[in-house]
Amino acid sequence: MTAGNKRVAIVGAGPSGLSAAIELRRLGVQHVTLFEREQQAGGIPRHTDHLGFGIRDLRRVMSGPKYAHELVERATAAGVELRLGHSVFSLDDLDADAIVLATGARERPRSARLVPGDRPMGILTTGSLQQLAMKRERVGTRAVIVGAEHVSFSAVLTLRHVGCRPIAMVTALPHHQTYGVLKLATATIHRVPVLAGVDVAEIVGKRRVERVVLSDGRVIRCDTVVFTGGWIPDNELSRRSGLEMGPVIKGPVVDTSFRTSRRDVFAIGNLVHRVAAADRCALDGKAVAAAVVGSIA
Amino acid sequence: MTADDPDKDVYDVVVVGGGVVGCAVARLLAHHELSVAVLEAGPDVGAGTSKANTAILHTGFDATPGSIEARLVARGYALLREYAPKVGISIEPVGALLVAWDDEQTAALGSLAQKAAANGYMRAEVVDATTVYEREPNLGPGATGGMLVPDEHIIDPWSTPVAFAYDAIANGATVLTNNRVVSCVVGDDVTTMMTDAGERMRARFVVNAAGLYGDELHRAFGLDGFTIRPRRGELIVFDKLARPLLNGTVLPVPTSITKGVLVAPTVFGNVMLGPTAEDIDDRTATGSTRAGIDGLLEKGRRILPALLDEEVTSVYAGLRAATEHSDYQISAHRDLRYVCLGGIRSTGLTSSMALGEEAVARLVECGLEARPKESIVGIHMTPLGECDVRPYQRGGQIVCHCERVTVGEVTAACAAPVPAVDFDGLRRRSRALAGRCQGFYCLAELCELTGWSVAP
Repeated sequence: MTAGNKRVAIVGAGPSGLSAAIELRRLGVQHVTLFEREQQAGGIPRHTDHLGFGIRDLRRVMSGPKYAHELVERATAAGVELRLGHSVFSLDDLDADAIVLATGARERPRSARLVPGDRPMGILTTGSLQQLAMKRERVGTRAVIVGAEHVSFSAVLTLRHVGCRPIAMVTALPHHQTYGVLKLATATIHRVPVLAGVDVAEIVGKRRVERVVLSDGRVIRCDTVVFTGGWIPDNELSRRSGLEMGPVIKGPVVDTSFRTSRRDVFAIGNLVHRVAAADRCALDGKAVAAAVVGSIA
Repeated sequence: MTADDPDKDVYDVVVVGGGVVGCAVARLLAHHELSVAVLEAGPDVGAGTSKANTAILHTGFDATPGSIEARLVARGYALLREYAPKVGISIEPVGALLVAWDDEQTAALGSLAQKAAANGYMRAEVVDATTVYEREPNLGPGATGGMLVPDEHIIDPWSTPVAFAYDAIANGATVLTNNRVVSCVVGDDVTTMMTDAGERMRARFVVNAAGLYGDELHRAFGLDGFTIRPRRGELIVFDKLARPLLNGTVLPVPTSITKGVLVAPTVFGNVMLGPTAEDIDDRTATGSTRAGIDGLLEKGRRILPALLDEEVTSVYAGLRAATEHSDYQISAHRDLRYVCLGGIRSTGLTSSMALGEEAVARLVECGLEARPKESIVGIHMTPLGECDVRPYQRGGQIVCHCERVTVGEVTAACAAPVPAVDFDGLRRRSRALAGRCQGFYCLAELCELTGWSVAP
């Protein structure tokens, strides 16, 4: 038998899942079904509305939404069966010869970071902030950004876009974790000071955030706090399926061909990397396809 | 109360406080031929002390024998255990295991079993360390013994007060939120209360279920006898992926030195660690603290070490309405046509329905005529617990993926008899936003669905 009449199910229609689906079709797999729990395919780039996408996989520079749209178009044109609004709760529900997990990663919210204090309105992650911005929702007027990774600087741009002033970036690490040029741009163009080596010790405010207290005792008045980065794979399906998990990244353990501890199950993208750029995840998708075809042929 | 009644704006009974106790009282009153209103200071029912507890339906095995609390907890346990499945409040009979970690605690188990028997609970069973580890294999090393309490349940603490409120409304009661009582004048036949929203509420009888502010209302009636000093309890809720670590509730053995913390599954499929117990003066200090969180984690590491590897879904603090007395402060005042249900502490969820019965009985002592209605309207809620069938399992479109909450559940919460008016109310009625991502995926979509903004 060849791969021709075999079935491959992919869970998650972000850059890695979409790219895997496109490549599997190109390699001649007849039935490629892509399950996406959201009503739209495209994953996180759908709401990351700035340039920097598609460089390594499509060899173009695009915005997140354009990039997501392009990948969805290509998948549809390639004959991928897209099942939107379809959550996969168990791998046993999938009728497939091989399964590719591409469920991505999310940012750890305030609670997972154990930041004490009140629980008022105005506490966001970059993910929620960006989706609110796409829907033209206002969020607040003065924001403190927690974290100084790439995505934290993306949050600065988005805050500007929705008319919320970024007051400061706070990171417990001794340095920011991104390109120096981004830091320079943040400090000069956006005039956002990066406070390194301090943590948010407390959030204060009953109904609405009023201020944050830093671990060095400083107090910053604000009505919004954005927790950025601190990525963790969305690993529920992997764990509930009994896949061997890695203790550091907390995604499934994979070999060099993205195969998990279960022979017919592969895992790609930020489910295994946690914090790789979208185009890197897309390259995983391309790469896994050959291994999947090899395993089912 | 009829249209041509000269006192047509006078309620038979006004219940002050829309927590789990006040709503339970209003529900039972509404099952009688009475006009009933609830005055709640906050924006929602069940949104104060009632929303932040350990979500356990207690048998009352460890109450002080002979106390009012012991009697009402035992009675309330039976009532709520029967009511919950009927109306769609999720409840699970997971049982509890008290675990002793040293000789002093092991020695205390015998007297705890005797205490349980004195409370009329006969099924507590002292067991050895081997049995402890058979029942809970993931416990940390060093357990020296334990006691099984097989009838302890876990329950959905959010749906309970909400169900009582819906039940009361379905049977004719009025619930007014955002109305804090600011003054109270007891007349010959009618008590008049003004609220901060400008409502003038007139009632023949008043029930004090004002929780953390119960002593203030009590004084407004010219009475004294107890002062609320809030006891803050911080709790950590772990991700659902932690749930398999635990079979049932793991309780500490109370000793003279330490109260200890419990580890309990929740009906939502999470694992809860807590609470701390700290007497404070500020009745609004519902924030968590560094010391509280760190202390809980340290204790959790000893009780259930693998728990600490799991993600934390939420951290919160609740304030129990503790007083200088060890028992509930219940009193009836015929001259004032007033019943006080004061100092209802963490057991209030379990005892709530019994407090409803107690309030009605005491009101009757004060001269209220309470004739049961011939027919009572039943209610049905959509259960939120993992042990029940949830709408997503019947094909509903999911909007909150972590908690698998459907679009239909969100719109229903916003159109409920006491509707959700903010994200907190939505969370308690549907679980939306209560999961591990805390809105990373669905907050914007929920804004669109509800029409609410996150902006100040």
